[in-house]
Amino acid sequence: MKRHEAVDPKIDRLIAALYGELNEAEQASFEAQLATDPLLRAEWEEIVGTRNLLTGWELEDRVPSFVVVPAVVTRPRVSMGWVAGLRDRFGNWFSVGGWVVAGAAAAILLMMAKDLRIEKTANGIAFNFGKPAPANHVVPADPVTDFGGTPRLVSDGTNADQYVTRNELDQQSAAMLRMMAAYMNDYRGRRDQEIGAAMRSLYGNLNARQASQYEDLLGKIDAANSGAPAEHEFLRPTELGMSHADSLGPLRLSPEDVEVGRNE
Amino acid sequence: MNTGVGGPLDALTDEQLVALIQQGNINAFNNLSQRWETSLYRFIRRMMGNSEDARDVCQEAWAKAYQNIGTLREGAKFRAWIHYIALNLCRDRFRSLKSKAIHSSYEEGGLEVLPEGSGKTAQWATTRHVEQTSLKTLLDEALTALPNEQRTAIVLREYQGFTSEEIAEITGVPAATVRSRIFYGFKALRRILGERGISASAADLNRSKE
Repeated sequence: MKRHEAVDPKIDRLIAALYGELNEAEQASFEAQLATDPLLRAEWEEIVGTRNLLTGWELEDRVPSFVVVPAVVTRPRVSMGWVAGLRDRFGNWFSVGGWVVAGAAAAILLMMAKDLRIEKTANGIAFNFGKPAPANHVVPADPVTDFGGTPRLVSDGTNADQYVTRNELDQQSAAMLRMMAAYMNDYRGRRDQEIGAAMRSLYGNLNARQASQYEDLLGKIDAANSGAPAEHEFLRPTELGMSHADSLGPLRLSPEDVEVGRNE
Repeated sequence: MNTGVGGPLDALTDEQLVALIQQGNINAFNNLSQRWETSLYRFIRRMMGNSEDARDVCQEAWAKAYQNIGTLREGAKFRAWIHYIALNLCRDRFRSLKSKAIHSSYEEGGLEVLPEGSGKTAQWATTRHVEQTSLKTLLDEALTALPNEQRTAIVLREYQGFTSEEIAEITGVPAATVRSRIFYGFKALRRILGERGISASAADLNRSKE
């Protein structure tokens, strides 16, 4: 048990009185006892005196401020729906190379968007770039045939077939996202293939070099053994029966065994 | 930059500001931190005994408060809550200082004895030292020498103005225990100061005021 943790009711009341934490009746009772109990009185004066000393403990330190700046604040991660889904799906893909390709694709789209036209055709929605073809409509020389009458417009805007609906646009957006995702996957596949090819080439070269050196070693052993007494013959690595003899042979690792790890 | 200080947020209560912060209003947090930064710093400074550690702990306390304010259910108790955070950080800091034999551990309790050979005990007992050292410095040293639990109770009650009940919530002990710690803390202070030639009786103080 910790020291001083047992509470003496007398002490409890003394400190409660010191800080005005007694109710009216308790305070009156305490003061009455204080007037008749010299020991309590002495204790009280000591405590009051010590407390008075504490009032002299002023601090003059400069107080540090703490200000949260919006630009650097770290907010709890909030789910952003499909953005979070894309991040989870392609999070690993979005490496430096990924951002370069995505940035380039975005830039191309941005450039094309200047003259991008979304048109509804019999086969679906067409995305066309460049200047629109001349309209098939025959624009009358004078749209107003009679002064004060209703002007005849080229299109009165009531034909909904000429316009792309929101749903259709959403579908096309989703299709574009899928196309982008496929392109990203394709890029990653090609990158893996390139690395794999490079590693296969490397291991192939190592194999060839190792085999050549091995053959050279065998040749030298044969040359050294020719004409030498049998007891002085050099043994071939395979004749040594040593566990490490295999390491002198060609690499057992086939290029086809080399797998390029995918960052997934 | 608008930090939210000096504007209409000043008129809001702690509870209202906490509600705004929990909705993502950073300015409300800045307003709240400016409202209590002086009080909190002084608490930490008195607990740590030096301004260097106090500044570190203070910054850490505000950062922790910002990170965790979403968990604060009763915004009206923000002041007690930030003191609770600061107190825990002070305890952590004391534990790390323990290896340097500067402080006794929080759990051990009892009056700390300064390391022998430091020369301070003998030095403080001299009248000359009392004359040369201001009362403020002596109080600083005397309170720092108290066991942490007693110092915590005294500082929270005497300087921060918390009631015994509020201190009980912050420290996790009954209010009666808080009052008991204050009492024994005062007794220890009186003894330490007495060793350094300072009388703390009410009568002496009354005479000095005359």
